[in-house]
Amino acid sequence: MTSPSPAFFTEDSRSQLDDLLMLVCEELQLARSRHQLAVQRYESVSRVLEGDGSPFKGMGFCIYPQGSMALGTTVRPLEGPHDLDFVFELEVSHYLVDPMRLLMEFYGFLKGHGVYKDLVSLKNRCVRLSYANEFYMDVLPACKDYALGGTCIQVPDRKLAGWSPSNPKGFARWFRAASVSSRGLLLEKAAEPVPRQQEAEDKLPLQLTVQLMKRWRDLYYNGVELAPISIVLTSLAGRTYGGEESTSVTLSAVLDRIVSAIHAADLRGERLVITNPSNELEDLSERWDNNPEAYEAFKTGMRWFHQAWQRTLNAGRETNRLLQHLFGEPVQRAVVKQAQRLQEARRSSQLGVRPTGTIALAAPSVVSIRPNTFHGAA
Amino acid sequence: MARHRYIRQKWLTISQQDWLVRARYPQFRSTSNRGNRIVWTGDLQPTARSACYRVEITYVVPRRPEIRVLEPELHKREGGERLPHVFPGDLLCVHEACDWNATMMIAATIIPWLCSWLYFYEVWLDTGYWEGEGTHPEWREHKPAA
Repeated sequence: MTSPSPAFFTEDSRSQLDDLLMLVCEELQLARSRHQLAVQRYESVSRVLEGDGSPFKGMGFCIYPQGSMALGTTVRPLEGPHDLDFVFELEVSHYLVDPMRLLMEFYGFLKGHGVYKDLVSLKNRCVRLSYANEFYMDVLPACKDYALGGTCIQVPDRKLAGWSPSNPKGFARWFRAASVSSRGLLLEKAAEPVPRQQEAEDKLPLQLTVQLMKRWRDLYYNGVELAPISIVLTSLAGRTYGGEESTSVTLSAVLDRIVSAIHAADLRGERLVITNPSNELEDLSERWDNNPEAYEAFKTGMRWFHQAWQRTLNAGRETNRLLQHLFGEPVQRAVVKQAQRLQEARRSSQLGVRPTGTIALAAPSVVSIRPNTFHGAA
Repeated sequence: MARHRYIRQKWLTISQQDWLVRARYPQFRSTSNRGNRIVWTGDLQPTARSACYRVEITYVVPRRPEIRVLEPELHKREGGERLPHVFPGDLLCVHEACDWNATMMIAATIIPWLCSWLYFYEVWLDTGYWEGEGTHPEWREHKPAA
């Protein structure tokens, strides 16, 4: 039996809200079994690429998760399965490789392979493996960028017909550092390597906040292409995070600072510039230059979210209903899960009530709740 | 007398119950206390995120205590469903007959069960599911949550 989370039984409404938000994120994230399956799947791809008949046999390479799976910020899409990103990184300089040839050779090999031929499709920068009802695995072939050094890589880009710079390991390292900024308390949690599947309760407030922001984005923009992309939201959240230890407070603080930054940029007559934290030269928001409508949609959306979140925090008993407006049906399941956990604790005599009537963990100062059966007229 | 050998515990008196309720829940007041009948009112808040409920408990020794919520008014869900686990007149039903008898302290049984009822009522209001279990498993609110 799982023991109840002590947070729920505090008399502090913020801790209880944080507990509920954690359960919402648990509903949103890739399930543990799916995560293990994804790891098995990419390890299988790795073995096939090392095996006989592979054009990459004998070459040094590694496959690793990037994006939300590496950051611990996966959010199930409104429709369809999770979209998981991986990098197939060759230990060779991109100067020695033709980008289109790398992509096509990677795609061609998998397309000709008995196991993958029906799963594989070619995308702009990656090869997609579609596992029905499980997830999409997007694998980006990449070469090392020794000129930029460190963990920098270059990825083939069909639209550019050339290389495109990237640094997913650098981004994950930056995000990990941002997640633990100015806190000692939570360092224990952060000691885990991020690519390992984390239970929602082990996650840091910044990770949970990013999940909530992404979920809000999916619902608010509802598939409209103007929606800000995940790396923009993640970078914004990480850059504005001030080390708050509560998820609800983190979301408030991050939204406050984003809305202030938008306002300051407006006063200067400029747009907000969001650079890639792992490569300051890369402007992640560059597309807004050619698409001012998307920037206006971003500003309107963030202001709306900021106000709606403040209303939600002050809504008393209406909070759960407003949370459902913001984050959808996972809120209802989280409320039920919280209640099931309480009932489980009640059944095993772990609970009592304080003089105020507040349900609390059993202790000498609280009256234990004896077993009972709720009844009623049929 | 031989009969007394089998009666291990006596019914608690009104004054004993009253003292125990008010000692444990100082916000409770007895608004009527005559003979073997007493009425308490008091406020209970099952969790920090819950509403604060003013409740009334009427007890006539040795009958089942009658519980009603005075305010805020208990709501039914949209679609006019009945309230779960209540008796006619929306008296709360927090236990089965076998769970309680007049030898037990209301402060340590009825009131903690009432707090649990209020919590599960709020969950039911938000979700449509009664997660506190109980009788009538065929009722819709007892079906497993999706």
